[in-house]
Amino acid sequence: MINGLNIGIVLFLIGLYGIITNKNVIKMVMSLGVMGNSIVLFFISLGYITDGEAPIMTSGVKQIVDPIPQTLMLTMIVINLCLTALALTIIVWLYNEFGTLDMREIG
Amino acid sequence: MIEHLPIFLLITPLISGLIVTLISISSKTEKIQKIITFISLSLPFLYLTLLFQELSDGVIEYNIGGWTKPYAITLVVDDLAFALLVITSIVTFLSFIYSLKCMRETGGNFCFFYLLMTTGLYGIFLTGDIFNLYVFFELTVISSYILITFGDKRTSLMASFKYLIMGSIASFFFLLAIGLLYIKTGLLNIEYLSMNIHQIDCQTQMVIFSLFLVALGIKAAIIPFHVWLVSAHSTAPSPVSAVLSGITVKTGVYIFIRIFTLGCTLQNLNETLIALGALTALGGVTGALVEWDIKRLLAYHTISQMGFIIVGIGTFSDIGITGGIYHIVNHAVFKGLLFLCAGSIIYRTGTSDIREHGIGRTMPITLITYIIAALAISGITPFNGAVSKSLIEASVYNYPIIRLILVFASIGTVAHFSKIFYYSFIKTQKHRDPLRYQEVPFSMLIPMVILAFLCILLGIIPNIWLDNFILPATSSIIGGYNVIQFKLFDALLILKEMIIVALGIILLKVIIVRSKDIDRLRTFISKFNLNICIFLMAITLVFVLVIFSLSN
Repeated sequence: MINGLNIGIVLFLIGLYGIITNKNVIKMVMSLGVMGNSIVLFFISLGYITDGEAPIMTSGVKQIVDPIPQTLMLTMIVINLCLTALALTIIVWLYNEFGTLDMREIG
Repeated sequence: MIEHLPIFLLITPLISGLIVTLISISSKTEKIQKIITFISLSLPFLYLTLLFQELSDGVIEYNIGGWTKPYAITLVVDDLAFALLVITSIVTFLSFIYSLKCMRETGGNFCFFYLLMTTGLYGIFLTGDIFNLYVFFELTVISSYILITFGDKRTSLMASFKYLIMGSIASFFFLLAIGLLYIKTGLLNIEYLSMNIHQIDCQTQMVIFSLFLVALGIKAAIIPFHVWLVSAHSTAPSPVSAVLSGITVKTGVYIFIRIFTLGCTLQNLNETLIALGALTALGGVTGALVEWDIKRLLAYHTISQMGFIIVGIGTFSDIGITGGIYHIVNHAVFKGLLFLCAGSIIYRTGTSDIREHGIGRTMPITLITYIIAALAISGITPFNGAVSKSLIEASVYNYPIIRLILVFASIGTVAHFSKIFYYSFIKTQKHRDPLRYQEVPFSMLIPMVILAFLCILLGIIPNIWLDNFILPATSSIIGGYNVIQFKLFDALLILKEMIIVALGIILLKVIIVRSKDIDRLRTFISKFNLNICIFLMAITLVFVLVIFSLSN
């Protein structure tokens, strides 16, 4: 039962719970990071095969790991990095404007 | 040359964005950057004219990587994509012209992010690959997060942050659904997915479509997921609001249509969507009751009109989808125009509170364009909103409750637009001298006049547009259609509109008299902050899953 797919889903829900309950904006961005990484885990284990090899088709290679999810996740990691950087930039501006990181006070 | 046109649509804004940034490093003058942006936003008209001739021969496909079909990265231009590409190019171009005078002292940054957002929008409509939809959507929303912060600093930062959190959650749900689809079929190409989706068992389909519903619900601002829209659209600079409200929200619906064409075999999917759409149509109007800020009012009406579109798409009949697509185009035109009008009023008066406007007849062209847009969004006969609204209402003929809700939403729409009309234009401020206001600069008037002209043109000769653009788009989704001949001056329809207008004005009177109840409603609505709305979203996901599992 403990495989990458299930743990990915559990981590996804933990991240969602974090966003719902946290009032601190930095903690919200951290929860977002957890959600993003859970997606990466989900996709990578989706193409995983036990004893599979890298998808370079020389002679003797029989079982290969599916390369498409991995390439998709490369794109997704880059986008997620960009999102996190932007979110933290906005938080710096927010802190300069309001002097607090609490969602309830910022409004 | 001709066969490379789809990729040119993407490359032109992208490369000119790069050039604009490179120039902004070396020189401080904005003139060259604005000229480059202007040219690269007007070139798509040429491409689209050439594409229209090509399109008569059938769907245009463009393989980028040179791989064979199911694994290729393809750009697909069918009639639906073409109709939305045309309206995208019109709205982005006109909003940019408007922003020349309105957005000063932003340097090349504004041009760069604006071009990036345009690239993302073209990409969403062009791509034939479900993962690239995600990539282009992220390109669009990341640049719009930044564009929103060009507005008023204090409020727009928080709006941008809320939008970022909700948009990211939507993307993650979308990716999860893509992952599940990939596990079951091993495909990402939309065309091939639609051939293979019947192999997936019912349980998995349920989960996949619930995840898609949450992801696209956030993007299209269906009611429990709408929390980001109002603050984001109201605090952005007006030309950006016009694009966000006109096009970016519609991308959610567009992806909805694409997902629907996968042809899933679920029961009650249509009914769920129609119910959510009706809730959205009514909820948006109710939210607008408490607002005195002109841009927040318009943003709430975007939610309401999205409800109309979702109802039309949700029926998945030919007439409903025709109405939905026509309303997407119409809403882009008149909501873009309304945001530009609001921008002009704020540009001259310096405030967005409608109680302090009172500009009277000092801005005649803004007044006329506002009246045209308000009549169009209320669905009064000679204008374009009437055509699409009556098509949507005809499509839910079998659901009398939904029809009633849509009529209520129309009454609310009339009430709110006469509210803006009464406070901003008719009622004059005593302590202010109305003569000090004057008409906005010429370059801000041109886009408004063109959009107002489009409102009339799309309404007076609806059959030409229906036959050439909208019905082919419908047939590209459901593979066939009945010819709809729309009768323009139907006596019964006009009588119905008159009653709606009369009831709307009575409702406005009630709103003004019973302001205490409105205040109570305001405190109720202000309780829905970000955390509670995400919680509601999760509840809705579970609820939808339960409905699907009970009926399948």
